[in-house]
Amino acid sequence: MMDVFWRDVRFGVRSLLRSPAFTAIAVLTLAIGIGANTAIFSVVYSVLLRPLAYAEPEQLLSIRAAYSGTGAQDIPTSQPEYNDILQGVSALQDLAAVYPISINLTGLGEPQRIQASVVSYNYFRVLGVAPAVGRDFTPEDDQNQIGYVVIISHDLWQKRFGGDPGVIGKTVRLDDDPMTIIGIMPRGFRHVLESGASPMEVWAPIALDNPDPNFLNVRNAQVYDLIGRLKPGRTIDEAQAELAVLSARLQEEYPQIYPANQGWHPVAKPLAEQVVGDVRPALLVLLGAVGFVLLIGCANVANLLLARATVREREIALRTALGSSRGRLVRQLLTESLVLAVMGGGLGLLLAAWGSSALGRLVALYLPRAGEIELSLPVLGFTAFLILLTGVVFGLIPALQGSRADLQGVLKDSGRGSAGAPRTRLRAALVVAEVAVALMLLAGAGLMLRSFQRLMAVEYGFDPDRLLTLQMWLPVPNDRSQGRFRTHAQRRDFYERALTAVKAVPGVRDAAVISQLPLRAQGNLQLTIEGRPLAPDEPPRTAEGRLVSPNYFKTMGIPLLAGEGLPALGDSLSNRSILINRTMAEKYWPGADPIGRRVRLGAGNDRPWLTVVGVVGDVRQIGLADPPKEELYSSFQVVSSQEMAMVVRTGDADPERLGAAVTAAIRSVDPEQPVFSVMSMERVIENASAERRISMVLLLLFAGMALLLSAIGIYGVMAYTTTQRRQEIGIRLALGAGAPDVLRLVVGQGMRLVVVGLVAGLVGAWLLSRALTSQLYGITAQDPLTYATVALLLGTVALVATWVPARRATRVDPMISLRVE
Amino acid sequence: MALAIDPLIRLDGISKIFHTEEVETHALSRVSLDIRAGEFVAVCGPSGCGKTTLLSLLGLLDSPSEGSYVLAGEPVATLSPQQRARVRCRAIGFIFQAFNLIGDLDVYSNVELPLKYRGLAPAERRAMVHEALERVGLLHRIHHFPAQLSGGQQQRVAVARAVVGKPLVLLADEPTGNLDSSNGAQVMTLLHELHAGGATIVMVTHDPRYVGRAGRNVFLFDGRIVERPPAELEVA
Repeated sequence: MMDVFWRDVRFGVRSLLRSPAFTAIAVLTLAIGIGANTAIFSVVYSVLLRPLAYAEPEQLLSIRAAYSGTGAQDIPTSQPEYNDILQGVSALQDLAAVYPISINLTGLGEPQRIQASVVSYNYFRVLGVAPAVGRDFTPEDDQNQIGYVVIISHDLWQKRFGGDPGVIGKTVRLDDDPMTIIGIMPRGFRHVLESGASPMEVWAPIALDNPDPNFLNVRNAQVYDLIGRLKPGRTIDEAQAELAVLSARLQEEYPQIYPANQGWHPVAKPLAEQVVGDVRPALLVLLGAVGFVLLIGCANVANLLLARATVREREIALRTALGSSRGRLVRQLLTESLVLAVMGGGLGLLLAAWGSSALGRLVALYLPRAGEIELSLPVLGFTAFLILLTGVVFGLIPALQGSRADLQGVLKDSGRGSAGAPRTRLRAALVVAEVAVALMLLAGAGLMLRSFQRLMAVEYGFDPDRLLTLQMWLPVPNDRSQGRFRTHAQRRDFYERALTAVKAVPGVRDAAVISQLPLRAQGNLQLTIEGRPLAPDEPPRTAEGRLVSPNYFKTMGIPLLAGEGLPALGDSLSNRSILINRTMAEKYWPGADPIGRRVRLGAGNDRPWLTVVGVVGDVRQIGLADPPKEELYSSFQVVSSQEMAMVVRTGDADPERLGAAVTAAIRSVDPEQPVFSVMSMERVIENASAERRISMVLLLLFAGMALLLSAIGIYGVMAYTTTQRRQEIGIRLALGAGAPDVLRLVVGQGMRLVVVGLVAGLVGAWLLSRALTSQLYGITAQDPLTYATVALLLGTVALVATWVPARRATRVDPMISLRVE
Repeated sequence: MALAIDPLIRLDGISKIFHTEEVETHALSRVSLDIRAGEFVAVCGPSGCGKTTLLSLLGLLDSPSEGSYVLAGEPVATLSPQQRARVRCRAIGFIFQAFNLIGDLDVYSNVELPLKYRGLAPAERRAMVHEALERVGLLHRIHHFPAQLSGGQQQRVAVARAVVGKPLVLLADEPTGNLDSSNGAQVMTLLHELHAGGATIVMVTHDPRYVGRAGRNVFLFDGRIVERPPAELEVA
């Protein structure tokens, strides 16, 4: 049996090598299809399917809160809530709390901003992972105040300590606090919920059992992500049922914290699902798209094989005449298809290796688990399955058709091939399917492109041209009495000196600070509006709040619409002026003048009133696709934050060229101050749209492949059909047909198939478009202009693909009609 | 069908030379021939003597290497392919040895084809197709496909297609070559009826049975017209 198989393989290889053009086109087509599918599947597998690299990952869950009253989801929990859940949910074996932060690493050369996480002592135990060197946290570590001991990542150990095993017991300075390294995590360990762009490098314990009464014991200080492990045999549904009971009890016990109308409730979901977040639909769309490319590739190769079967009809008939059974012939033809698929798959795997690594780099910024993308064994298994599947899919029907030779007819004929009606119909059906699938892909890519254009056309609300941005974070030591920036005056002094230093850099026109740059959500503040009490069922009034230097709006090019700007203050902190944006003015004082009105942060009476002195234009603060929300701006001279961003208006076309000089200017004020995320505002905007841009680029790439492959397919079928019909065309020419008649005949025949394919594709695209709805902005998934444009584009390409062989058909020598073979 | 212009066809010193790589083949050498309107001319000769080449030149499927060709008073030897197509469409009807019906088209559409290329209106075409099919006795097979007809019927459909546009001349290339003797005889009878009705027919054949049945025989040998028939075409 194996002997026969290998003989067929050898024959197949020889046969394919005898037709190098056919083999090259088929192998390349399959390589593109299989390669693209493998590359995308490597992403899908690594992100969506591969089990998390922790012990028994199916037992791990994430708990976050949701508010059914406001629709808010994925809200972290507070320390008291953590305690309640740990004690109140019996399905949990253990529960860890995680609080991601970023922190200044100093004392080891250049100051650096790194990602860190404060975690409950049992965090690594819950995950089932232990440090590779040194020790894990103990309950005693949690008894101390925050900090003092840390575990570092393998990468940080390598980068900053050169992999020195003697690093255990050494001290590093994190936010000016000396901390002792007690452990190093194994290579490849990834923190839960880590983004590819900012890997976690340090873990420190939270003193959960000895909480800071000013912060950790506050029930609505909701900062912790909870990671739980289920007891063996218990399910996530059981945990969720217990959480529901708990939330009802807490709402009853703490009606002030959990008002009934807000519907606070903790939600448990598999940790893997929480890690993946909302990228699943986009990845599945891409996988579907690339699957379509492979389908088109298969249709092309099937068409080529059908044509080849016609040419080989005589050989097959001869084999039949010599006693070969139909089953034997099918097996031999299928073996040839599989040989082709293996060749295409091999080349595709090389393409995938390159594509997978390129994709990994491309999506690293926004995709969770992007660092895990690789051609792993399961991915290779998928490729092997694809090879087998494609070999059978594109090979079976041509093999069945090819093996059904008309023995007498073929052998009697002197070898002139003729495509039988079933084969012609099959080829026509394949062309229709190719066009339909290509149109679906083009429609998807077109929708993404139009959506992206709309997104890029939104009014940012500021002028991003020649604007440099950067981030600063003033260290917050655990011992607040020791900090260099513990008071507002110290912080304000630093920011003002930094601004003065930066403004003195040649090429800088102006500079301002803001607590959070646009396009990055800041978080809502609850508001009380003077003289307008909240109705019983009215949702709380909120606004985003940002601290700014008074010249921020001028530096950013944000217009002042009414009133005046923030005052440049001396030492008077009594001035509580704020600016609000247009959306807030229209929402809370519709039809009235907001200037002079007063608001207070929070729902209580313990905060001072803030007076609205001006209204500024709306800015896209949350994201490009999110409409502006209510926003208020206070002066950083009144209240300052540890974290501030700086915006620098430059005279240079490329503001990033001033990045080093601006950083140096800030360091001249404080050499231990890390300056990070130095980039132009245009790059900030680019990053804010990266996810959509990448989806769009990949879809456009796949649609381009589909367009090319389907054009090749249509051309191939028409060229083949035209060759088969040379005699008929010669007869028509002899009967008086002119070149235009022949052109019309061939193009008409091809375009009839194309039109059927376009109609089928439009219907398919319309049905599938719902999958894209969540990724679109500013257009509907049924946007008629997009559908019309892509149909016209594909129709035009198909017209060219049919016109070329049609043009050749006009040059058929009519003398052929007189030849009798 | 006959035309007042006489001769209808005048070939004067026609030669056709084929060049393949470095070989030059003289398919026809200085052939001169007049054919009057209403004549039935048989072009005879052994295989390779140039009969088909002569027919392709007469049918404007090809152009001569030298010499002049006047059809119905118009010089046509140097027309462009597009101009030749227009003349073919209006003035020439072809009957092929292998029938050359188009398998995907039914009888009606096959016969209609030359009229479509001529740009006639559908109603006019319909009337002419019906008349032609009636003439060959196949009106009852109008919606059949070629594969559903016998060889003789197929050739009669081909004759209908050749005469449907009332061409100046019918060119028949071995019209009985693919038929058995009975069907061959029927097709020849049909051609004689057309000739009797005034049609000008030029028939290429190497079948001795039909050589003597044309009004005039033209013998070709090695690309030249000869006075006497080659031995194998001597009518018994």
